[in-house]
Amino acid sequence: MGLLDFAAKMFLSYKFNPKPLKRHISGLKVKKYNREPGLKVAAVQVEFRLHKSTIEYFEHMRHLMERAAEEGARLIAFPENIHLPLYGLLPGIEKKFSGDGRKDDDGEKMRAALMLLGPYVKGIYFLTFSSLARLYEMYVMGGSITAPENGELYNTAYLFGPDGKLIGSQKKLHATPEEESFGLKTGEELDVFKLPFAKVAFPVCMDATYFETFEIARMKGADIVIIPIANMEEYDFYRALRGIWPRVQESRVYGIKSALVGRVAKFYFTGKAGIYAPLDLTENRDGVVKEAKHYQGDDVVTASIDIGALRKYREEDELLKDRNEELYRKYLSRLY
Amino acid sequence: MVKACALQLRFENKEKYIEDINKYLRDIKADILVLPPLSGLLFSSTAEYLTFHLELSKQKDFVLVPGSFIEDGYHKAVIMQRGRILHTQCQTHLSGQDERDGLKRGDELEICPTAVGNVGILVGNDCFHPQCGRILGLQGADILVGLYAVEGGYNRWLQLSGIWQQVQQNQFFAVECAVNGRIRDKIYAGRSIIHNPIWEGSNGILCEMGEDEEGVLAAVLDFDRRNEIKSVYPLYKYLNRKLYKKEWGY
Repeated sequence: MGLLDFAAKMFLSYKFNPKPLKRHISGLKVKKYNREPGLKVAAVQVEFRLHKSTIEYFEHMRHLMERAAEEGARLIAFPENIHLPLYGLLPGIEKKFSGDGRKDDDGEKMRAALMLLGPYVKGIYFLTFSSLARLYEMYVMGGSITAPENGELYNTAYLFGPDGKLIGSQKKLHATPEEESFGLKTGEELDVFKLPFAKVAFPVCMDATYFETFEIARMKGADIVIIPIANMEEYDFYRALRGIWPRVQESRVYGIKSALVGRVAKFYFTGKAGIYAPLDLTENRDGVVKEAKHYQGDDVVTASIDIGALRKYREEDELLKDRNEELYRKYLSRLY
Repeated sequence: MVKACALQLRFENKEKYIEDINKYLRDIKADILVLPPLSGLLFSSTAEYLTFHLELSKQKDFVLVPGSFIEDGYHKAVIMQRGRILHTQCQTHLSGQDERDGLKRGDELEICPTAVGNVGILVGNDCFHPQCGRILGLQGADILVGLYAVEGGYNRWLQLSGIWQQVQQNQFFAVECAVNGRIRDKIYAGRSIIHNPIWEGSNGILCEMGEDEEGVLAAVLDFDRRNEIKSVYPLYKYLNRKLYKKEWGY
């Protein structure tokens, strides 16, 4: 390790030191909220702000968590790349983020930065979402972070139980061209987790562009598929309709979309957090149980969903019950 | 550039259908034309239906997909050009109603090279099964023909959950023609839509026609823009083949 690397690591250890946040959390008293019978879930829309301390970051997330708890949610989902607001701890980061992003070596620089910062943001991420899950006694899909694991970069989401313990994780399965440019490695497993009220999968963002993701989740028994997103594009209704909404219709699951939104320097994220269902299980037969009113700003969308009704609907499904395995095998075995 | 057209009609009987064909297609300029699904049911036999459309095809230069018909228990569609059948496609997935009607599933899904590019057809319920679009897309389909035949009142969201999303996840064009009106005591409703993969300034719908309208829907398919989208964002490149193989064995 060079002197510069050593100095950088010392600096990061200082900035991302978890002790002040641990002290803050241990002094917290949170209100206990009653939950009505049935299952209420929450999709969180987080405005991307650069936080100056780990406590500020934690309080931002806690504020959103509190809103979901007030409404009686048992399961809550945070967005993709939820570590980005933590980069505010780095001095001069706004200027760095303002680069034009078109240089050939940007991918390499980005990779080096993510590899270096990853372990530090991961520590704060785990402390934040595991503590929130425990404090509010909720199942928390804490969104995803891009961080190294065994020398490779992954975009990974984590699920915590109401005791604060990690239930499982999910690596992003389909990269974007930008992620490819910095060498993001994709996962090779899609897991479904059995919670007391439903079976849940939580692939990440771009995974919802591919029907295969939801098909596999459904075949493994998923009732709910959560998609954390951080879409860097201007908002447009139809652009945003791609992804989770059609996947929910094809695979007959409930969908929860959590979104990172907002503009910091050259980064501009848009999207509406929402809860989706097959058309026939929604009031307006539009597939939307509830969605954020706007594609910018913090928001918490909560809604009751009925897993029993979903399972019954699947059994009686007139439209999609047919599968032509012979056809899939015949063609996809040579085309994939 | 390819000019794609769909003719949307309100079905009543064979006589009106033939009148409409003569009225709307007299001066039509198109490279590919799609007619409404289930038109075969208006004719007394498949032979009569095919003969009528083959004659029509002889008089025009365009690639013609003349709706769909039922034959030997299969719901089928064909691609014709200059009086010749180039390709036949059977519906490969059945709804509950299709099963009760005694339909059988096809087990082939191929593209057909034509003068306007590689064309594939999704017949009836196949539009709701994403595997179909993927199979045709991976074979190199440029244009998908969607024959939308859904009974009952119109639901735009149901229709968008079909071909529109197949276009978005496979980056081809689609010419979707919907059946409207009554056939053999069943009432159908749908919109004809010409789709593109979303690009700047577009929502993925080049044009569409209300379910209560009749007439020719036309759009120019800009292959350069489609190719640009595919090169900037090559969706197939990022398929997770290892995962699929592990889960499905293929």
